[in-house]
Amino acid sequence: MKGMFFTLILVFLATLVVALLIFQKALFVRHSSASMVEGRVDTMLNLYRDIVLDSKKAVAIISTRAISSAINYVVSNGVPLNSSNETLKELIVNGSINSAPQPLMQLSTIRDWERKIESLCEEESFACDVEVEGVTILPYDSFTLQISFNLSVSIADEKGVANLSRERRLVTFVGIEGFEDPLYPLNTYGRATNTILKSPHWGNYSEDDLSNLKDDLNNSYYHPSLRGASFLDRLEGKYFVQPKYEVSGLPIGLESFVDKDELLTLGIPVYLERSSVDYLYFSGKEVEVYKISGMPESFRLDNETTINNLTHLQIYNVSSRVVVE
Amino acid sequence: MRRGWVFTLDAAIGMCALFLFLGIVILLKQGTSFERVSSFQLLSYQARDMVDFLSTVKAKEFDDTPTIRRLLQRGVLTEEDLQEKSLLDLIGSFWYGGNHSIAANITGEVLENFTSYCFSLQTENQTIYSNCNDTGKIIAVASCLASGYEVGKPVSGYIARAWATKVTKNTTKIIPFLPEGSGWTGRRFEVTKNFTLPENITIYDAKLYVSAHLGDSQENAEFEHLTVNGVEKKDEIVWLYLQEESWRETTAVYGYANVTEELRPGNNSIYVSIKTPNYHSHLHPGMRLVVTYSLTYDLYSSNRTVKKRFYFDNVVGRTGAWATLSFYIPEGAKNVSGRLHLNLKHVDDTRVWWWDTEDIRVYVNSDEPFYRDASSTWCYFFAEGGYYCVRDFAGESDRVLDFDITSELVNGTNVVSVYVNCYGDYHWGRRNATIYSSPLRDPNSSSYVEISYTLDKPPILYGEIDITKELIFGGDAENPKQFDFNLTERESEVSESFVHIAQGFSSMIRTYAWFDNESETLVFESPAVRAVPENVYIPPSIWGVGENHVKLEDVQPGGSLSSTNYILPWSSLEYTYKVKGIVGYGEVFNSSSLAIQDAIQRLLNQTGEIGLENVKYDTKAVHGIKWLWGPSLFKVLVWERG
Repeated sequence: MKGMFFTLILVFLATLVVALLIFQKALFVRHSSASMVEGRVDTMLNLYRDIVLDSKKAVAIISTRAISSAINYVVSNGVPLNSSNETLKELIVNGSINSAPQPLMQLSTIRDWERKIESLCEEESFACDVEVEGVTILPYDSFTLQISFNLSVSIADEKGVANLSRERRLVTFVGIEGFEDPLYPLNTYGRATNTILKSPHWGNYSEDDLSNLKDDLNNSYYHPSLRGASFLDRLEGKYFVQPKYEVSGLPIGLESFVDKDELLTLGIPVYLERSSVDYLYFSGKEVEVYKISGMPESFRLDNETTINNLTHLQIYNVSSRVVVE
Repeated sequence: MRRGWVFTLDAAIGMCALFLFLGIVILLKQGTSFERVSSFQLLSYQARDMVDFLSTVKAKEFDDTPTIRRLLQRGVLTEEDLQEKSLLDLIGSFWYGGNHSIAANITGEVLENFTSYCFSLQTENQTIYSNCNDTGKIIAVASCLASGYEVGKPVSGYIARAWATKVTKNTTKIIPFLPEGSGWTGRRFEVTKNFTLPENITIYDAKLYVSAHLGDSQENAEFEHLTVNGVEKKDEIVWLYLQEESWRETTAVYGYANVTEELRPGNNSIYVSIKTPNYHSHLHPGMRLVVTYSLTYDLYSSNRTVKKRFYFDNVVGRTGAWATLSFYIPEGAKNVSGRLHLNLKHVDDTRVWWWDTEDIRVYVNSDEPFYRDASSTWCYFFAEGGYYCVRDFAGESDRVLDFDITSELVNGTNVVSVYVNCYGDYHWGRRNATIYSSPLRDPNSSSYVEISYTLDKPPILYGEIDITKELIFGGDAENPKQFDFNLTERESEVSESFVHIAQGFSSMIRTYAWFDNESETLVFESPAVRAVPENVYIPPSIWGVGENHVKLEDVQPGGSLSSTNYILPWSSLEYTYKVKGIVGYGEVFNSSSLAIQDAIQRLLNQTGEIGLENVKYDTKAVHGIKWLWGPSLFKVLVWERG
């Protein structure tokens, strides 16, 4: 009887172990399956996140090439653009200007990037549909362009485990430093050039020591400006900021000092009695100008208002150096 | 029965024990699997964190790591690079740029204290950096894609454009002497030509072609002086052609003197003094200075409104003075206007009885005088073979005359002839007369024609340069004379073309031009005797790419071909064509020097063989242009240390 009792206990324990075993197995399978799905979804989310991040980077690369193409078109032909932001958009999306393909944009348009991403998705066993639409280009501030676009991404796992579809408005910024200023060649028959470089002395002009101002003149460095044409205006051959680009609320204009002596060496007629501020010099707008004591003989400065409600004489700190004739 | 039950029970117990044992073993094993799954998840989180870290944190945050600091000090990296680039961008740009060790060092330094696990950063199946030599049993992988990278491809490149602002080229400048006179029967005739050559030039060659009518080739040559900037060159003339009129003891001569050494950049002066024992000494068509020099000049885009002044030479005649000035107005010119300003000195005032007689006569594109200072051409009688009109001398005066000649002007070649106290071959004067001109010192008081006109488009556009060539006719002295030449595709944009006529004796000239097999176009015909221009303007629209032709004829007033007036082989065609001296950005290169080389080569290919030596190219405008390679996958692998 006692043996029978022990036997029953043993049978019970064995049954319990088998039951636990079966339960554990089920639990493990379920956990593994959930992990697999979770992993796949994670991969999908990471891929989406990568696409979003890379779209900004790609748009920045493409925009840089588009800006170079636009400048190339203007300075090679001596013809300004009709609408620089629309032309840049055409370059970014289609790689062309007025439907003429531009060499620098070959395999470097936003459509090319979309195709590459979709191809990469396939390698990861996802079906992707990536689309960039609604590209807008505007000045953000004097030295930065803001490029906005709609990115719509659809990702589906090939086994149907999960899918994702999202649309976002994204913004990327592209600096214009290092690019050529089209206004110089356009106004000098293609002979003079100037690269947009922000003045390292901006906001640091001494009344007693003119070395920073002279350095700005010698290098034709650029400063933010209230009315001087922005980079997009300059691509259109305009001298002054156009309202259509004044949307960021920040000053978007640019100005540099025209080195008249340098122009003379290029055989270009020089207007001594014009302000040396580029947009006033090239436009020929009649403003009162002043010789500045300590600056080169050909240098003239006007007293037009620029940013921070200051005039040119004030912002460059030379009010006390005006030569009275 | 009982024993069987016992055996059965033992077997059952054994089976249960076996199940129990197996169950425990399996449970233990599954516990390990759970543990493994958890461990993998942990590693995955770690890998993901590392990818996120590399792709989002800016390199600036790690500017104190040894490698980045060193690169900053060497100028390989700038502060801007660090602010702009994420760590992954920085590592990727070095890796794909071929700087594998730098990429590996940066990776190691920034991830050094990130984790205690083993990890490696890989891209395109290549390991950028790994902190462990062995591999684990469980490896978690997290990836990130990034555009701009591809194996074997540079991350960024350079583009360059070039344009010619200062171009050193060999150019030819032709400075014509006008057909002008006069010295009658042994009296001196003098011409002074003052002109300016550009500064900063090297003169390679200068030939002064002399075409004159003077004493015969023997003892009566009476070639007194030919000085170039004060240096006598008379005896250095190489005579190419002599045509004698023995009965007059006069000769039409054509030759040249090399004046390369005597000419200089800036202001120059050439003085000619000749005589003839009989008849009339004067300069013939074709006397000109041809200078070849290297010119450093700037491109320009000339205005559509053109104003030009053509100066007379300073002509001192001992038997009156005359000169024929030619100039051109291009085809398509509009709003043309012109002014003739004459400063005449020592003009005889002559009379017959009490009638004032003609002393000055001016022709403008016509055989009818445009101006006469008196209507009477009476003489008492003719002396000296019927060439000298005898009148009373009533005094001498200087005359300054100013005429609006707008209504007489034509598009093409214009000819203005001025006669003072002479009109050949009807009347040659007795005394000195001067057509005064000193354009360098006294431009406004000189004698000149000033014209102005507007063009539909500037003659030179943005970025264009112009190149001038002169082709000598060659062959024999003949009448008529035809010259054929070829225009290449590169020379197709002809902006101006002229024929420079070299003659001994001359009467009136006709010039024809045509392209290929098209019909001949008469582009110029002398309006009057001796109205032979130094050069004839040929509208560029006549020319085409391929074979082109020019034909010159010397004709008598009646229209027949002159039998003894030849067109000399040293007549020439001068044409100016335009090429664009600017090229835009080209392909993307791995270095700025390659990009600039390419730009210069493209510019040279475009402009052709014109000796561009000093091309100013836009070094500032060479940007580092990123490629849109990829996107490439960067992977972080994480595993436990062994």
